[in-house]
Amino acid sequence: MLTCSNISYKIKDEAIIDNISFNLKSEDHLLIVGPSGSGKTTLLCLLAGLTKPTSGEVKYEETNIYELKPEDRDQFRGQNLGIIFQNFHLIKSLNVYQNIALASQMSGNEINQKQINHYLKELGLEEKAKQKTSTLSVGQSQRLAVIRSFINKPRWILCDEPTSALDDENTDQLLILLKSEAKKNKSSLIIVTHDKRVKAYFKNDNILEL
Amino acid sequence: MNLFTISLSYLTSRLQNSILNIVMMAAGIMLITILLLFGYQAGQRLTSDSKGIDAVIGAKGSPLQLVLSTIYHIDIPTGNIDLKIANKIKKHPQIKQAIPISLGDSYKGFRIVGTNLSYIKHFKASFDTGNLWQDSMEAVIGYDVAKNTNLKIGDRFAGSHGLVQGGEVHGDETYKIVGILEPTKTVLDRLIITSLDSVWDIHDHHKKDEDRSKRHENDEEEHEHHGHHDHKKEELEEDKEITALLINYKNKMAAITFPRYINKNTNMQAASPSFEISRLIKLIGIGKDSVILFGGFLIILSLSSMLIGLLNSVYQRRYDLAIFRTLGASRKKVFLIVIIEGMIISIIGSLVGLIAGHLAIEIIGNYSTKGAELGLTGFIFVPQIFILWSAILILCLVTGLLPAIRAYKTDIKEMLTHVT
Repeated sequence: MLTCSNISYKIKDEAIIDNISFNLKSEDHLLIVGPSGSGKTTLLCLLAGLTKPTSGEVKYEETNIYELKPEDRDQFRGQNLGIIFQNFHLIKSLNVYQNIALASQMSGNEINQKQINHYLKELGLEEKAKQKTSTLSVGQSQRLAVIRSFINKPRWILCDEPTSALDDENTDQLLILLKSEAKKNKSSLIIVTHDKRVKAYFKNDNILEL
Repeated sequence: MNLFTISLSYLTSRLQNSILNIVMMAAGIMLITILLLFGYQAGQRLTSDSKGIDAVIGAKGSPLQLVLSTIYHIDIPTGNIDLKIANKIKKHPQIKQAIPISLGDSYKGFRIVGTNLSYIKHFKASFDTGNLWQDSMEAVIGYDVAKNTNLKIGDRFAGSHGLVQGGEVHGDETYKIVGILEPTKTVLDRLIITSLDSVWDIHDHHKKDEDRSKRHENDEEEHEHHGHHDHKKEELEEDKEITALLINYKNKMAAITFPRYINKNTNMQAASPSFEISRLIKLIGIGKDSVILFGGFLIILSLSSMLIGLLNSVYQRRYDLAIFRTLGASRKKVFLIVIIEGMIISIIGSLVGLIAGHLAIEIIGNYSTKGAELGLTGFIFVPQIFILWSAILILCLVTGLLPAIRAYKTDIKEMLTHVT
């Protein structure tokens, strides 16, 4: 269970996030929608333990992440949360395989070669394993970003505007992939978006409007 | 994959920049390494070669030239001195030991030194094979001479006039090798040692040959001077000459009074090796300091370039660093990635510089005559170089700190706002 209680975030008395509360059961999904500038990315950072809220708390099960020491919070994030960005932000200097292994390396987990190869094969990136990410198509890049976010088997996947730069076909492929991987891994998806197309895929899920 | 792989991947992604940094650092360290290796070995050689010699007495001229030619055998002597006067000086109460030296010939660039057993004993040399000469025209060769000329016991060779290769060969008179010395790591290794008599004999013979040819050229003149030649023969035996005397004093007071006595009362000079060498080192020092300064400048340039490169790199991949943090990397890990990057450049650059410096000295020692004379080798551990290397690595670490701190302080939220 993710419990978000009365969180606010202010910059110089200006409230970017104002007293938001919600609960999200494990394996449930949440869509956070709102126009540009409504604080969606800030909320995602608060949920990810990257920005300390001015007030309120964020609890994953019994762990209040802002009560953890910074190093422990980093470790918690690496092991329990997966994050996908709008442009996927793959590391250009590393190859496809290394981009996935990076998630394990950074979170302090052991690099599971077998699992990485399994994912690469399953999502059709096996032949690209040793190639730089600049050689990938948009579809391949989004699949790589999904593998990277799921490789540590996190219980929560945070996605920030994952479809805003994608056409309908790629949007469809990405959201189907995300939902199926989340189901397989028993993870919850928390998607921040202003893309109306996304709603259609999460009709029966929780929606938070900012 | 580990932090090293990640740092390395960033370095290879801007390969030209990284190579430039490495080359600049290597060049600076190579220059300083060459100088330190040369200075250390030349200093050691100068000290060991002149150990136990308090003064050199020789013909008037440059005192430095006298010291260089008679102790280090790297210059031309200032002239000769009269043996009779030299023998008188030997008996001076302030002198403990005086070793006569007679120069003039060489073989394949190795100098032939006429002297006595005291010279070999002075270097504490022992025989690898053979023994000391018993007769005139017998010679003992140093370790390097044997190695480079392949001369063995019983072999004969003809010396050539002069101290450099290409002089007139004394074809009629050949030396016989009777002993080969073990290495001493001194100038002795590069010398051919023989008795004073050998040097006098060969030059008496040479002088006679010259006279004979002159006689053939001008019979009349020869006839007129016939009586004069007989007289000259006597003179040659009486007025024998040597190049110098290597002096060891009985007491320290002699260092003050004895040179004054020689310089004032004779037509010779007494030169102090320690004084002349320190003067030489001072002279060389100016040039050495300039090269060290240039090397230091290259290293500072390389460090500045590395600093700018890393700062730029951290700025350009601030998004990457933010991604690392979202993937669970602690600030410490991000800091380390940048530090490792700087250290890879520093370690590769300094290692390349060190190896190149040592190789350069090894090449100079093997392929340059002067380098070989000094016994230069690249395969030597000089503590100052290790200190230099450690200091440069610490400097590199300090240089890498600024970009690493910048990476450490990356504002993830701000980056993610831009990323998205």
